[in-house]
Amino acid sequence: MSAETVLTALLPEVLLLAGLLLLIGLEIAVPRHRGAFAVSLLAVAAAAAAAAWLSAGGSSAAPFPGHYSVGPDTFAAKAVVLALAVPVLLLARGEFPGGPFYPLLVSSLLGVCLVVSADSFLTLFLGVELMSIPVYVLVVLAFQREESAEAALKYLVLSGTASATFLLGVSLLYGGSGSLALSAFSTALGSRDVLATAGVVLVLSAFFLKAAVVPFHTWAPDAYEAASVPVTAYMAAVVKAGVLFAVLRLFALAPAERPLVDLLALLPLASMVWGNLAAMRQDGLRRLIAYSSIAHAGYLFYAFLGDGPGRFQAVTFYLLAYGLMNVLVLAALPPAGDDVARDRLERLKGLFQRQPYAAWMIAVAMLSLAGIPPFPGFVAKFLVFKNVVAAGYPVYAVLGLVGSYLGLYFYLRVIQYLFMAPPPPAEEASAAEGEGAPSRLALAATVLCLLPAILIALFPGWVIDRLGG
Amino acid sequence: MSDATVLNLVLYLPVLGALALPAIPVRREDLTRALALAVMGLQFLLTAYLYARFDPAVAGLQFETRLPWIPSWGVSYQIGLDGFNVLLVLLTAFLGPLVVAGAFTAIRKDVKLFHAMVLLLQFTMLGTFLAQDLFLFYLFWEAMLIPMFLIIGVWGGERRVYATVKFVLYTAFGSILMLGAVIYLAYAAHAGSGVSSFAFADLYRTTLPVPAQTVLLAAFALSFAIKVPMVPFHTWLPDAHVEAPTAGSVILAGVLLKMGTYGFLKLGFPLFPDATRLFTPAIMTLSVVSILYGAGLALVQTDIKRVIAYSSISHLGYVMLGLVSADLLGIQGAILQMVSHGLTAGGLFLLVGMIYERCHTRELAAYGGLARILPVYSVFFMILTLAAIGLPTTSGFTGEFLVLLGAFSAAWQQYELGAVQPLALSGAAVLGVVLGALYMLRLAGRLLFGEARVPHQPVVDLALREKLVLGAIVAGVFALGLYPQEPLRKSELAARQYQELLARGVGAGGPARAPEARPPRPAGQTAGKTP
Amino acid sequence: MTPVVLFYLFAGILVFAGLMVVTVRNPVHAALFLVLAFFTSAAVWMLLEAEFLSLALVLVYVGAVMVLFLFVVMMLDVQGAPLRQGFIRYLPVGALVAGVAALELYLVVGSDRLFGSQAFPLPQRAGAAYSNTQEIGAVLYTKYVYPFEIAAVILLVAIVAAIALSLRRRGDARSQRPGDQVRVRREDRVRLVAMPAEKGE
Repeated sequence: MSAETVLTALLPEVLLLAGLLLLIGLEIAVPRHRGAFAVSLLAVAAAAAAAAWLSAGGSSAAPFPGHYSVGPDTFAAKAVVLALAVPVLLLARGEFPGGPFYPLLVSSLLGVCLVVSADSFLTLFLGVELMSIPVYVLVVLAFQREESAEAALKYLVLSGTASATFLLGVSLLYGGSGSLALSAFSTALGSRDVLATAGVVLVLSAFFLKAAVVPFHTWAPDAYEAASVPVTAYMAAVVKAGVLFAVLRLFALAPAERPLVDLLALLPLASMVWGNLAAMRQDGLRRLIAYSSIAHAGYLFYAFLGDGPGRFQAVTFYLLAYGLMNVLVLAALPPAGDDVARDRLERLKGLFQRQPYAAWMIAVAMLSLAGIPPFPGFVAKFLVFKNVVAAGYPVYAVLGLVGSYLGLYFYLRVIQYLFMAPPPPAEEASAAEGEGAPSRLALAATVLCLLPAILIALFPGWVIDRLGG
Repeated sequence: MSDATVLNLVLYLPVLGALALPAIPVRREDLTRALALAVMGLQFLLTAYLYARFDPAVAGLQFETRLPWIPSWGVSYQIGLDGFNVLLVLLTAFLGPLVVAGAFTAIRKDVKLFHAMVLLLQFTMLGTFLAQDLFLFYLFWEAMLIPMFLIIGVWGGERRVYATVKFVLYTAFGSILMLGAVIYLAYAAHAGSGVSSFAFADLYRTTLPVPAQTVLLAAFALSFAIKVPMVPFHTWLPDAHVEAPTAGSVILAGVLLKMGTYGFLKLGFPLFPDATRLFTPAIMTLSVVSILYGAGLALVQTDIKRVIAYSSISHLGYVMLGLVSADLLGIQGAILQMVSHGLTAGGLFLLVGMIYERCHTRELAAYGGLARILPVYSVFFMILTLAAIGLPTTSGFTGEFLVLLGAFSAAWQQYELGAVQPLALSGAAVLGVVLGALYMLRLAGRLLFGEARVPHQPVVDLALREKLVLGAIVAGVFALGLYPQEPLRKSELAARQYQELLARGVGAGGPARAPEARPPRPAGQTAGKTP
Repeated sequence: MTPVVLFYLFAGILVFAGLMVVTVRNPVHAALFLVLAFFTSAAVWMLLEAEFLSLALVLVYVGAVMVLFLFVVMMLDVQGAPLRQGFIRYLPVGALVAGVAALELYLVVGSDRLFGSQAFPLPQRAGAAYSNTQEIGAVLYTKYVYPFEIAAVILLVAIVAAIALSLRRRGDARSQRPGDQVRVRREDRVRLVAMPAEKGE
């Protein structure tokens, strides 16, 4: 294999790595420079464009056979993840003028790209770690609040437990098959051997924890709340996507007949129900988004009940729609004097009167997350449940739909705050002083989320066809 | 411009209007209203043109547009007019400008948002009627909730938030089960025929096993019955009606409730003929219970709006009765009754809104003798009251009479086969007519006659704008009452198609019901008998 | 002594040392027990004929990391007492969770009836000329070169993360900035104030 093919296959990663090295070099060589934002934006955007271009070109290669391979699907997935990171970066400019935020974000993205292409447990593990380690630190970076440190520690310890569980599961699978290839997982999924089943359960639990599926979800609300807004957006949109793509890689060759199907249906179902119920009681927007993301993790894992290429389409489409809308909410959130105040749902009361554009953006995102047509979240949910029904689990599909219905209430409550509630009188003075219009970059971020969302709402068929299958 | 293009234009005009609204400065509320009115008016004119061009001799879709949308699932963008929806589309387009004009003085807060929402609501309602693809239908059906949620929640009365959340949660619960049924139906159709398609025409052609039909119809029926609403699922309606602003009530009563009955007519019953046969006794019973229960409750209300809200439950019971009779007269009567109820209930809600704007209360006890104080208002109120009762020469008569005729002729056939229940239920439905006269006359009597009493002096009679709005509705009421031949002719082939669809299925030709056994009557005769 | 007896001996010491790490009061003692744990696992690896890994563990962890760790512990003067608050209160729940986890592990892995050591085929014994180090090197730089490179990136990122966590620009820290000193102008330092002359009483 020539160097050119290898470089082409690795182009998104190479661009990200170049950006990362440039960022570190800048930090060392030029004190108090202002270029970090521009460099990382350029690197991420270039990598996203490269991934999209390679996906459209349909190129596929295996530069490191057995460890790493690329194809149109993986490039499409990378393009989705990297594209989601662009508005996140725009959001971050105001909060993080420089410093370690940018190298950490870029390296975490590099990890996501590795995960998407992983072919062996080793690469997958390294990718997941590379994706997660920077995020622990990103959570702490938020305003240096005390809760941030506590939440980050919680996240770190639980995530470390997940990694350990993953390794234990992998060692069982390796012991059984003698191979580190991801196909060992698919084989184990179909077998009734106790050893293999134990390995599968351990590996799955690890990813349930990383994706915040009930009952492994407890870290998510704390971490989402403690992180600053762009980091929350990053965790909700990109890290979740990375974890789900990892699971997609694991399931790539999964046989249709699986003994563990109930585990794969019941925990996500519990996740939907609990996430949606708990979200009703939150007064903070980020905690609300956290619980909503727990519920959405449930829908996403539901897609694994389906089989074949439909699974990839459903998960990728869902992640795209869901990620765009999550970033949109956080981008449209009006800035405030302090980060805790910015988060409070009460502040959204009567927002339509003050900032109609922001109110509309949040409302659109909420309706889309609730899965109400014509917003992209609806098609995504339809796609997932269509696959579940087609795989022969209509009862699980109906239960899941009812679970998703439970979420409607709290999404509507946000819209009710935006449009129907008068601004709280005591709050008015402080709101007026702290609340400003969103910055230009935040507006650009909302546009970057909105335009693709409109595109996939109007032409879902076109997008689905682009996602292979 | 081809007629299909005109139909698309009709559908998208409100969206274009809503998109143009943000360009108008906030202070120019007059311009906002004028734009909305112009869009609605143009839309009505185009619809009227299409209605005139609609050929009653052609079975199936006219002015059809069909474009692939999500080809891999067989979802297409398919809209068109047929005998099922042509009258309802006309009704929707007709009420549109009246709603906007009726809200000129009532809405003073967030005027732009209001008109944007009314326009979008118009778009989604027309889309629901026009859609000929199940996916598209569901999309519009569910999207309709958003503008309605805001209309009730932002411009409603005291308990508006409670009412609107209740409305959305109720209807969305039905919808979510329907979504499951839609997905399963498309999957089963695909498994049966190998072609994945969501088009109604293709779905009509698939016949599912009876158990699957039963489950699917139950899901569809729940969703539609909540929307209609039929009796055990009706509790959202009085709250929503009372709290909604006038425009919201008019749209709700005029068009939105017809979504439910239209759903039964176009989808629920024809898609699952065998299950329909199983469900018929239950649905018939619920329809009659709705008729009597709605009428009974309307009789004891003290809030004017609640009287009309409960009367809607009663009137839509007739529509359901006509639909399950599967008799040509009954079906056509049901379609006519939908339009007629849209006009009368819409008109009555407008009238309530006008008096509320003047006196700020809807308590029936606060009023009396309006005939002397507000003569023009009272004339309109009386005409619409009589239309709601179903006095001959008004639209209410045509619809109700045909429904009862159909119900009885179907029930008589059953009776000859040995079933007494349908006949008894039809008889009970007649009782509803009497109750209907009672509660409407009680309302009109207390409001218009007796000792002159208004809670808020001085009151002025109707302005020209209000007279024009009500005049248009009254014209519609009489047109439908005196010349029902034309609309009946336009919906006749659809009613026959509905009968054919009901007659197919696994157990067709069994002892239950065989509507095609009756010699079909030409439309001219049908209509000629009615006045 | 047979290797099996040795294995159980080392495993016992390892578990004991691990327990002591998390239970002893004195952080220095904890660090020393960690050293013991590393040493014993190195011995277990040695039993498995993984000489290179075993020696690397001793050299890197015991020799370098732990010494550094001890320095840090001694410099920071960590107070052990507050860490134990609520220890007794949380003990029952913690013990329950640990017990359930252990039981599950036993059910899944431990019991020979379900499956046991026979599920893991023993690897072929290598000959005397076999060089562990050489084999690892060969595999690491050929077959596993890409994961190796990724691990390098992870190390780099870990450095950045560690710096990000620990580098705080303190407000009260003082340092010289020669550039600023050279650029300074008279107007920045001297302010001429016109004051009215004081009159004597």
